[in-house]
Amino acid sequence: MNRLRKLTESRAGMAGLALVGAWTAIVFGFYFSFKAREIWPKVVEVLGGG
Amino acid sequence: MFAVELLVAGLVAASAWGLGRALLHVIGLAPDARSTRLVLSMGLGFGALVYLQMALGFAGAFDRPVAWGVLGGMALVATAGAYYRRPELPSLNIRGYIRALSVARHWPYLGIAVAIGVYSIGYLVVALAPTLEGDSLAGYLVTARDYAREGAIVPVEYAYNAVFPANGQMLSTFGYLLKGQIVAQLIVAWTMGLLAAGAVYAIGRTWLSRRGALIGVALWYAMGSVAYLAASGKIDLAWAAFDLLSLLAFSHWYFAAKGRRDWRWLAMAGLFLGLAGGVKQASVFTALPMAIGIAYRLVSDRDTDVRAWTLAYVPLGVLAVPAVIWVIRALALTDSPGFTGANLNNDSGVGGFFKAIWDMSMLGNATDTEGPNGKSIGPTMLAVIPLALVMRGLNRRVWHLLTFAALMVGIWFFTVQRARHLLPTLGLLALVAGYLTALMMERRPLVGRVVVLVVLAALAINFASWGWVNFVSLDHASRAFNVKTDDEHFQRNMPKLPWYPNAAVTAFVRDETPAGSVVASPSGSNGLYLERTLLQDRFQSEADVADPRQFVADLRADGVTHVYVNDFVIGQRGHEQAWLARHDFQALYLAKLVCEAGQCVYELK
Repeated sequence: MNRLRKLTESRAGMAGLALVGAWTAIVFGFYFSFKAREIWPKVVEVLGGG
Repeated sequence: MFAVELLVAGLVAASAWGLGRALLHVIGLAPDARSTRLVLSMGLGFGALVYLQMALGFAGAFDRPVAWGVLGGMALVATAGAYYRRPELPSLNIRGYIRALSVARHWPYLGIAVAIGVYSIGYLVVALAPTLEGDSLAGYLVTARDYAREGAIVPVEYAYNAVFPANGQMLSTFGYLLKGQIVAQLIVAWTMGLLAAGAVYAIGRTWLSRRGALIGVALWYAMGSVAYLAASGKIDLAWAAFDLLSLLAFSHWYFAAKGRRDWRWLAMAGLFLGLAGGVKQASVFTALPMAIGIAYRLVSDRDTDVRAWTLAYVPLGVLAVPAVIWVIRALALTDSPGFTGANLNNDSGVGGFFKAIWDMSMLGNATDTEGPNGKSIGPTMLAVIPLALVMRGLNRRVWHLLTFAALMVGIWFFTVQRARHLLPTLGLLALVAGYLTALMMERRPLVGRVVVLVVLAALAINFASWGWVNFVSLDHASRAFNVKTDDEHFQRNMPKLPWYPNAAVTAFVRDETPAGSVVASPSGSNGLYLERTLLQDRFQSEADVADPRQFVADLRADGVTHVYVNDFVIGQRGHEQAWLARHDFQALYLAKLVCEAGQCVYELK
């Protein structure tokens, strides 16, 4: 019983960590994509000479 | 010369620190951490300066010699204090630091420290050039300059913030009195930004962890919202500094063990809260959770002694009272207690709450009005703080800080949903995010290092955006280092800022119109550099005043001598039918003086 509880807790912990890890990745991912869209025209302007 | 301005601002900061050291000694509180003593001393010194300036301003004694006398007095107290109690400066064992440092091991914290340094230098360079930030040119620096010019705290009715609290302008007015606009900017934006960052560090270092505090400071100091303010003459960073100092003092009472809670910490929290509330009324976001926090502490201690409750609330409340002076002034001048934010577009509902937080963490939550490179708080807090739910063995204070921040965010959501009105709360949230990141570095170094790497990438990209605007597009550095004059700076930049008077209009009004001229405009604003009174609310049309002669008589009654017309602003505001914008009216009543790029200055015939 004790082992089962530990296993469940550990699984729940892992699932929680995976969920929060995915959330962290999503937030940073969106931020970088928004920033890339914001900055890209300037990059084109500088490197493209126009 | 920018070096002179920097020297004067440095003298002000050093004198404030010295004066504050003496005051802290008199109060008799001696916090353990050196960083806490340093920021509390600075805060007390600047706080004393604000109240002294307020007294001088209301007494009509703003004067350059008086300001230098005040600075001399502060420097004298600081020197005497240093003579009797030698300041504890950090031991600069550079060789020891370098020997102990391993780039391979310490690069994440080195990277964070370098980021803070780079941002700070960037903010300094920008503060050394005359700002081109809209609200500063329409209000915050206009009021400060006119207080200095008029020698008193007078109603500057043509500035949009005329009746807002003005503790922040007490600092910028001091800068204007000592030397001019650059010293004002250095004090109210750069120095206050550093003081606020120092307060964030002190809170984190005392209650969470030193490394977490370092990351927290980077997250707070480098957020787009702070970067925007650092390039302005606005007062928000002064507000954040005093508000965070209030939280720092409050935390020393709140986190102390039962029986060791010293009411003097609450008195100091009240003092800083009063200073902050006198800069910006948004301090109510801090005051209410503080009041709840005191009740929670006393109830959880089962403390029903009336004396304990009185000793908790009375010092906090009484010392915060001076902030009310500005509310009374606003009521005396108008029928409103000040800025309520009632007319701002806000998100609403549960979905709206998430949207506001999400947008604010991405590109800023008012991008429609503020544009890109706006006032984002960055993604790290939103991304990292949920880790608290799955990490074990956290410092229990994290939950207190998060509850406190949640209360503040709740009040903020129902009032003014702008990042700059949340800066102190964001300081707490940045500390929690920093603490969790540092903890991750300890427990799972690989994951922790990846998080720090991503955070550093976010800080670098944010600096790239902000740096593009300020160093490439507006090229503040050339003006800061005297490569360009003010007029060259304006000529280069005003075409990108069509809401503002352009360089030709600015030079003409400033140099060719008599001192004391009053310029009327249908919505043309941001006129700090015109150096004249600019009445921007003269957009009345035939529907408002049927007879143009009556309209002209009204202008004359208000002392108007000149008219400024900006076609772009008229188009944006839909004021094409305003008398001052109509060509038939202009032909009859105005004489054209200068016209360039859709902007004209006329003389009233």
